[in-house]
Amino acid sequence: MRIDIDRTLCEGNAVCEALAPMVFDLDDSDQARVLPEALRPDGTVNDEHRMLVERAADGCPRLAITVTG
Amino acid sequence: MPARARTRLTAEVTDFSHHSGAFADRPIEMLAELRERGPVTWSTAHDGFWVVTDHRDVIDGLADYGRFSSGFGPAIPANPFGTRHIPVGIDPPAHTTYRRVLNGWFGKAEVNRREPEIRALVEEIVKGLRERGSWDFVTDLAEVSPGAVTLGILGWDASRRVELLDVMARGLRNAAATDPGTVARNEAGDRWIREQILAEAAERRAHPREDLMTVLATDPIIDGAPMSDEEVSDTVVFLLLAGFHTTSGALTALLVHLARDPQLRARLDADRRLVPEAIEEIVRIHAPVTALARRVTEDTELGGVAMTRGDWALFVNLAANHDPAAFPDPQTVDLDRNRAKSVAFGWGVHRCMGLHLARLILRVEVEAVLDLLPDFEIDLGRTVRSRHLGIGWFYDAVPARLPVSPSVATPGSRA
Repeated sequence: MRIDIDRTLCEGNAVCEALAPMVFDLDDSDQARVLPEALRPDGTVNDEHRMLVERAADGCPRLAITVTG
Repeated sequence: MPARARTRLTAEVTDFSHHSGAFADRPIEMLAELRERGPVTWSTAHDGFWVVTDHRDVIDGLADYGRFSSGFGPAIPANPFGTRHIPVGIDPPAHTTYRRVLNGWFGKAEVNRREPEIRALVEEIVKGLRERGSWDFVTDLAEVSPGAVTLGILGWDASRRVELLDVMARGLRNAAATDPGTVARNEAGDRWIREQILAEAAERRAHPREDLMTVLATDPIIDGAPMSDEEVSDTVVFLLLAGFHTTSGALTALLVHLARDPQLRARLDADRRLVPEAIEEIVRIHAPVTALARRVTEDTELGGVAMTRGDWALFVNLAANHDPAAFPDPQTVDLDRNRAKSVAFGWGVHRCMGLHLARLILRVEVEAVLDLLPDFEIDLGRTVRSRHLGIGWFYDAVPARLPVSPSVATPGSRA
């Protein structure tokens, strides 16, 4: 799957990090990011944690996370 | 070693109650003792519940709404103002629907847009304190601005703040009461506050305005239909409780700390950019919400104990934030520490919706106090911490004053 985070929407509520800590965290400027170790060379993320990633996208207060594929 | 953790499915048993006087006397020590006995222990108080005190299990549990449900209310025993508060007493997917209506009103951008009006409100209050010369930071500032801002967002008349505060504070003080007289008074308080909410809702349906109360009373929120009276009531009672009773504790905890720590006070005075860091650190140490309850939805394991479907679990934010495994030397105020996983504002889908508003109000309040009352003195001998620590870290009294001007007391002035 592919995960896009709209950094103009993200305001660092950290809901994604709580729900799917193996995929998301907050960077030094309190913005959500996909963890480098979760990213594959082609920019996609392994499907293993799909349920938690979808929970994170649904739970994001700003709807800043889009999951495709 | 790992095998031992998996087989130790019998828990340590205590009679711990977060509403007890013993807990109010020595909260941090008591939580550390519990954590020593096990990350998850069983308490026989309040009909029995699991007490989760280590950081890892608190964040794992609060994030996992599938196993740990908010649907029976986030308090042990039940909050005197109801258990189905929206959105905190609701699990996804319904939670998501409700919360999306509210997010826009409490998001960072919307909150920042309100900064000038919040600053004007706070500065007016603080200038009033300066003119009086002596005051109480609890009743004269900490309890004033958050409630006034909350009523402003809802669109309620600011003059209602004191009566609402009185009824809610009385209910929360008696949250664990079981004697019939107090329970009846709590029920009367709950009925009264819900009558006020429904009267405001009816008024907005007749005469819509540009406020959150109108949105909650009239917008098609659930499958194209407006919320029911009960849903409106369960939403607004939560907004009032959360808006009035959390930020106030954080401000007084910070000011009392500054009175005891002149070095930090001087640092903040010299560099206002440190104020937000100080606020985050103070709410980590003195959590405005002590603990969050969940109901176990399936037979499961957490922290090495076996839980049964239907059990109650209390996730103690205050304990997690003092877990030395997550925050070394946890009681020390350290502005430079990594506190990205502080659970002062909760964790998971229910993470505090008013987070950005609380941070803004607190920053503006601290800046106003430092700017307008630069020499303020707190009478630490007469400062009183609330006995109701099971709710949050609050003060009942924080008396303060400006130094008496030497010219006033000069005997020669009589001549």
